[in-house]
Amino acid sequence: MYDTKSDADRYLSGSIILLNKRPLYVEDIRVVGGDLSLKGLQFVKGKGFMNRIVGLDEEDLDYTPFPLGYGVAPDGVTTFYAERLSIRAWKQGLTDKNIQYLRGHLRVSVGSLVGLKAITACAMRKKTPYKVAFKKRSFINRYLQVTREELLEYKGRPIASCEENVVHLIGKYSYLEKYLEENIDGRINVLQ
Amino acid sequence: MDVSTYFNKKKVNGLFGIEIELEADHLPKSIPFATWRVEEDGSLRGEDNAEYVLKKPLDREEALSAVSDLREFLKRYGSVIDLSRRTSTHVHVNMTDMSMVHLFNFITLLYIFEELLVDWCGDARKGNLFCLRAKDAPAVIDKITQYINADALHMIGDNVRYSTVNLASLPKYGSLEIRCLRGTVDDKVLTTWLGVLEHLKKISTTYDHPTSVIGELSELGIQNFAKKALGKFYRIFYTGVGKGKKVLEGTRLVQDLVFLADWDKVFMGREEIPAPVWFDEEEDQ
Repeated sequence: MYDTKSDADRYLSGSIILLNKRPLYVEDIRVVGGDLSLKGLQFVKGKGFMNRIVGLDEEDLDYTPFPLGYGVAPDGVTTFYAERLSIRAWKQGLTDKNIQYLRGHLRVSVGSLVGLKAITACAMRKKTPYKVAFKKRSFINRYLQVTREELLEYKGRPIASCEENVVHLIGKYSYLEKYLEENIDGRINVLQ
Repeated sequence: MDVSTYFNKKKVNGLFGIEIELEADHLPKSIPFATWRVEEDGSLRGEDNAEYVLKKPLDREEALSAVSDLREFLKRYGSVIDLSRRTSTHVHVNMTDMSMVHLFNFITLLYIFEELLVDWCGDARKGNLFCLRAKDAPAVIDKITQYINADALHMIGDNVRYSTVNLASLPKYGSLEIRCLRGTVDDKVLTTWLGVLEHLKKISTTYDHPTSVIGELSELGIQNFAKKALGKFYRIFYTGVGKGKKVLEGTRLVQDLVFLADWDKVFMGREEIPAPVWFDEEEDQ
């Protein structure tokens, strides 16, 4: 993937890529036994932060950008919505420069421990049934959440009001009706 | 409102501008053709490297002929080209002859088929930092929508530049830059690539609004829409398993732009500050 230590350093150090489908913060590039390797940090639930040293050609490394979406800020309460930007900046992985937080949402620092933990949870998000998310006022998937005000948010935008078995979708967002039908186990009522 | 007026760019002839980045054992740094110039590119490595840039936009046949000249010259020069993942071919599609509506119909079509197009361009182009797809960097859709709604599309720049479909070249050159093709001078590859881009640009003029593109896709279904929109290129790009899912994903991403952008801002033109009316003129009226 990268021929020289300086190139690998330029494109990877200080950014997050995936190892075994889990975010890994690349701390630096080193030569191990004549081969280029990276030293990184991963957060694994129940185990905490773990150091990794992996050869750059390791099959389990994935340099392709990974999806983000809704996450929880380090305060443990506030949610944020984050997406990768295609900004002109020479890092293959995720950094503070190529991440965008929508509409004044709290930011997390990619290079900090709490940031890596938050980004890991965000990237590994699993689906939650709507009725459970409604009760808990939490995420349905990486693009949808039910807020404390019983609003359904899509990518940071309030698009509907929620009841236990029905979602009242604002007419402007009626293009999302099919998407909601696929992701919400309740009735979708489009408001005109 | 047309593109040249909106971005204050002169209408130019020729459909394609091409930049070909190459790595090889050795490469010429000057070439005996009036059509090409040679530049350096900081992202390239290899034993030797260079970027060959068309001096002015050319129509498809002329562009292919210019690439053929370059290919033959490189052969005579003895360059052995390395198919490195670092190299790419950027194609600028001239938009100065289009309306803003047709420009965004074209952009909508490109996002719908983006993953199919990049798949064809090669494995090393998927998720490549220099040509991120909307699925890799979805914030590009939000950024474009924000620029439109703030009536500031003419200021779009570096924060979307490393996208497969790069809008930052619109205010600069009046072109839409497609960055995902690997570095190549192969005639067959470029014939297909320029062909599909020309085809999609052409059919973008058959829709009256970006919402009509999505509307037709909903009406026809993904596969029939792909057949109609890609025409003779359907068999090349819509092959293999999971293509429908990829088109659906592209459509879902671009929908947020198509349905949330305040299109009047770009289709009716930027608001002009009214010229002052002098007292004498008022009396004359």
